Amino acid sequence: MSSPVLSLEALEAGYEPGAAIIRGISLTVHSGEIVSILGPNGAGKSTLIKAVAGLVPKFRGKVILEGRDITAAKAHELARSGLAYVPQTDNVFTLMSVDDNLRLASDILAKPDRQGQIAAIYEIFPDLSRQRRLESGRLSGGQRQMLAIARALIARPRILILDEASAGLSPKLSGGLFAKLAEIRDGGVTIIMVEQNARAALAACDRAIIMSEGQIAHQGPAAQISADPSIGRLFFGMKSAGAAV
Amino acid sequence: MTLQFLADGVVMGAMLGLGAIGVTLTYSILRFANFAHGEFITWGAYITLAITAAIAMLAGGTPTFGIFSFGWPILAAGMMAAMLTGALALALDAVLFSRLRQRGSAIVMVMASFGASLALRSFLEFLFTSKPAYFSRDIQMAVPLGMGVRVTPDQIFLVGVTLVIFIAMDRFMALSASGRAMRAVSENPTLARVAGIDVERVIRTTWLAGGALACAAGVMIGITLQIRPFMGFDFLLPLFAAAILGGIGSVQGAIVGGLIVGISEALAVQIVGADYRAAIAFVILIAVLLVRPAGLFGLRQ
Repeated sequence: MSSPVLSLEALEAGYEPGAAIIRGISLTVHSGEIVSILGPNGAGKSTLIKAVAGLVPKFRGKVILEGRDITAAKAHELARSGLAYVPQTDNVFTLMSVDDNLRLASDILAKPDRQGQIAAIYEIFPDLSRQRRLESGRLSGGQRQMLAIARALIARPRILILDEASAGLSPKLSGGLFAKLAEIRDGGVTIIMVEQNARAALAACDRAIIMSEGQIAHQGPAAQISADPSIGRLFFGMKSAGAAV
Repeated sequence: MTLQFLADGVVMGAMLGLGAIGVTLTYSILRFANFAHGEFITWGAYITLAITAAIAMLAGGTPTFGIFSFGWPILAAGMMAAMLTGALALALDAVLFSRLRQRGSAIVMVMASFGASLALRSFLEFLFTSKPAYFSRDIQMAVPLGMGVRVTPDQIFLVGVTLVIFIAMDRFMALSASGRAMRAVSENPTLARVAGIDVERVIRTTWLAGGALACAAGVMIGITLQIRPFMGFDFLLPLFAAAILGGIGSVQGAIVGGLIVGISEALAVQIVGADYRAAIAFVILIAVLLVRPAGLFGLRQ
């Protein structure tokens, strides 16, 4: 098995001290994996990845990124350490142009490296390259999501964490997004994605973690979870027998 | 009616615009109306006065540039004072605002800024008394520009300085990494953090820049009018009117807003008399808040 990129050890986190939403989660994500985090509303999926990204206080446990303990690191330090996080909403600077969004993200790189990295990202996202002067608030939903991912990739992260990236996108655009994520993974970036659209996420990921009430309820290879009808009934409210999703 | 109001308004507007840049930056990035900003203007002017006096003692006088009422000592003192006023703003943040910021209540920050304003002004009054002071008591002859408009060489110089500072700030915000970071924090501080921006560092840069620009405005007011402990406080309402009229967060807006408020005040003096001058900024402020809360270059309401 490939080396672990991110490990959580008995992590407890939440917004208020004494009211942990994430309750003792331990997991490991390996290099080159696409891992989906699924579960019903209120399961703590978004809170978990926000805690990993340094946006929600952690009360107990550890977060290890490539062997380094990053539990106490601040959000801006994590972005510079190889961990990129894309929020579900408000994930681009709408008053800035597409180009300025990428320039801003490149400012954490060494100066001689910045222009080349922006050019490389435009090659991955040619649609953005054509709109580089446009104020990003005027982009369509799909283009905005691509810009958010492009911005996160500028700093050459080892791991990319996405919060419901396909939310609000049409099935066609969601398909394009997941195809782009597979392309990014093939480029060497490990991906964790929180998704509401379980069917699409399972089709796009290698492994899935199903959360319930702030804990891991089930985890396994995506194909295995897709084929297990009990999981659909238990965690996604599906009444009929058959495949989970 | 002559066009003199235009020249007077542009000079006043330049001073307001410079002060309003600091207001608009701190307002958009720190997310509260800092009523102590007026005191940075006053402190900037008094620190410049004190350093100028020290230079005069050491150099045995205060030489002037040709037709101007001031010389290199005021410019050198102004630059040193800009740094010290920026440091004063930073110190105020460290001892007061940064502690309150963690509690996340804008109204508490505003009330604290009122308190800080009073304390800073009273301390200045204690140090320098409330008697007006001047950089120069020389009388300057205004030069005719045509169509009945006259301006002093100092006024022309100060409008030029404002233009240079405005262009520098505008380019700094548009092209530099620090400027981009300030714009990012202004729009979405959480996203800025996950994009790798040290928000606390941006806040410190904002206080430094805001304090330095307030000092520049204070020196300009001191050169064209007089220096007294209430000078910044008296400018506070027009400064906020200019910043809100221009659009919170916009450097161009602050300058344009300053010019509109300045020219409107000067026009009001000609039409209805100087007694109503102070009301003009208030009228503009209310009108903008009612009609276009986002301001002319509206980035945020």
